Amino acid sequence: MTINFDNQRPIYIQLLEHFQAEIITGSWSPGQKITSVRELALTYEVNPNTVQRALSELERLNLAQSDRTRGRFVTEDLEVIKELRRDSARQMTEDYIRSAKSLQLDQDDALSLVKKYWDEEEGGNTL
Amino acid sequence: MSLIELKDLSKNYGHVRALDRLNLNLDGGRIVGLAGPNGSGKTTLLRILGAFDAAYSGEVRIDGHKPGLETRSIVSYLPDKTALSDWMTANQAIAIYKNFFADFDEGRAREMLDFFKLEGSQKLSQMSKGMREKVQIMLVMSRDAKIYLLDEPISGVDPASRKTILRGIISQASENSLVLLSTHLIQDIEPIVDEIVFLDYGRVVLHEQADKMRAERGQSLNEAFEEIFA
Amino acid sequence: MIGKLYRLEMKETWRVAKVIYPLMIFATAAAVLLSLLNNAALTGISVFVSILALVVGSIIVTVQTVTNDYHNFQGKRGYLYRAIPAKSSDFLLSRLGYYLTYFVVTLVIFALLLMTILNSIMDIGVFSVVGNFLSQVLFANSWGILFSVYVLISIVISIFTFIFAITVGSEAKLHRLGAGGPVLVYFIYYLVGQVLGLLSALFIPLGVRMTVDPFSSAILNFELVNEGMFRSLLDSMGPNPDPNTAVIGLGVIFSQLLLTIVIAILTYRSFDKKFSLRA
Repeated sequence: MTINFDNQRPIYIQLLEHFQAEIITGSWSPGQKITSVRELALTYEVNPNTVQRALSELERLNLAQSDRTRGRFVTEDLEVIKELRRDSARQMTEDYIRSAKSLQLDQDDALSLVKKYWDEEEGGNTL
Repeated sequence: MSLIELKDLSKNYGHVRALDRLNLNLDGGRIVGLAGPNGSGKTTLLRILGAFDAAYSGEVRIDGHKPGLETRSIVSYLPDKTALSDWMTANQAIAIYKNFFADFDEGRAREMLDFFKLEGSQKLSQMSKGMREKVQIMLVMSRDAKIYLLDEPISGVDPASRKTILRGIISQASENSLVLLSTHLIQDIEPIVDEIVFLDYGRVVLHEQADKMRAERGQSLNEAFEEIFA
Repeated sequence: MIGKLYRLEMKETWRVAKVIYPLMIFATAAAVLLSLLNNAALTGISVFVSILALVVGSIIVTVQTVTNDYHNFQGKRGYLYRAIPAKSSDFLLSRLGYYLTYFVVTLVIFALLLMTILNSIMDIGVFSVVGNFLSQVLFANSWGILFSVYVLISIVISIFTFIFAITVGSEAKLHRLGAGGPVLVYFIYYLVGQVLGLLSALFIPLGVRMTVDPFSSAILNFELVNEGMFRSLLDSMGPNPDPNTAVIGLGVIFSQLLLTIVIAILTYRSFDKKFSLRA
């Protein structure tokens, strides 16, 4: 799997966002061991230091913990993950509202559109 | 002390000034891109670092030493042309490297040979340009060197091979080693470098961390390159 | 390390030599077999062709020996050779061994095959003539042995001049001349060597006076003398020349020695400090 990076934004931030998405969607389950830096670097075809930086950032946000001997793990604290999901959902909602407003939609229009298309959207939605 | 320290490095070809009082320090544990227009001095700089050109002025220190006997055992060099004879097979080339470089890891070479889908018994003369490039990368990256100097490792090969070669470089460079790779194809190396050095007229015009540059300029390395050299 | 480097460098030229040497032997065998038919015209042609093959083959191997060494150390292959962490003296000594091997082997093969061809068309036994010359003339007295040793040393020195010319002629300041750089350096070395050799033979007071029998022109006597060639040369051009004695200046040995030391130092320094790969 590769990501199409936007080269205008720092790559470590884009990697961080991707890792967060993996945690929210459960692709990386709570307590799971995170693959080695080198392997992640190979998977995403990026510099190992960049991966390292994104993972450090993940730790700083309490989404991962590293153990000196055993490696790095996704947090088992479901609260933190829930929090992340809430933040993420809120941000997306805000994005949607901003777009809807720019199209001169009012709240009722926007909500009814969401209801109307909710079921037509097939498959899983990835963030 | 940095792994590579250059002070007022100059080099002339006749009346042409290839390097002009160039100053640069590079540390280990990085993948550094060396970019610049044709004739900006990329190959000249790499050749001096690789001890293939001793006719320069200024100071060059590689792990504290002048380029020469001491540095050759810690520097692995990929030239922009094939240094191997056409009649050789990849296996023969591996045997030569194993014979002459104490840090050569044959297991790693075999792994990379598989990874690149190359046949060890095939002669170089029967290989495509991309395959020959892969053989050279395989040899160079199978050394457990402190410094890898790669002159245009991905130019002249097809896009699919470029990806494979870059993956090969990422997978082999150890945590503490320095990879310095020159290229004019910045888009392709963009995600894998963590530092970029722009050369122009034999001088360093920009030396910055890639992500810092993206954050501050809101530009890709390629866009910055085009802006600087427009 | 010297042995490893020697084996590596031998390979490139061996690819040519392993074809050329058998071809030379084949040409010789063909000439010898055809001469058995006792057809004068056929023998003439086959001897001519086979000797030509010997000469051309030897030249090819010799030229390959020099150009391969040049490409190994100054051309594209230099990116492999000069990346090897070996001492400069190891590189230079292994190269000397490489040149010596191909030059001597080629010379010996050439001489033996040439003698074989000549032996097949001449009535006198060429091998016994040559053998007699070596055992009864050249190696019979100390002068002959000394002379042989001198020739051998000269071969080694002349090999070293190739390495010298390739190394110094490839310095950065001569890059524009391409392969002309080494050729130019060799030419300058040759001129300097000739002039210096002549001057020292004339003026350094060490020489050999030869006395020649005026009737049979056989050499009667060698004698070491404390003079160069200058006086003897003047005498021979003067009003009363003595055709029976002549002095050969040995000063040339000193100038050659001096020149060899100089180029050895220049080569060593250039190889390390002024090295600039051409590819």
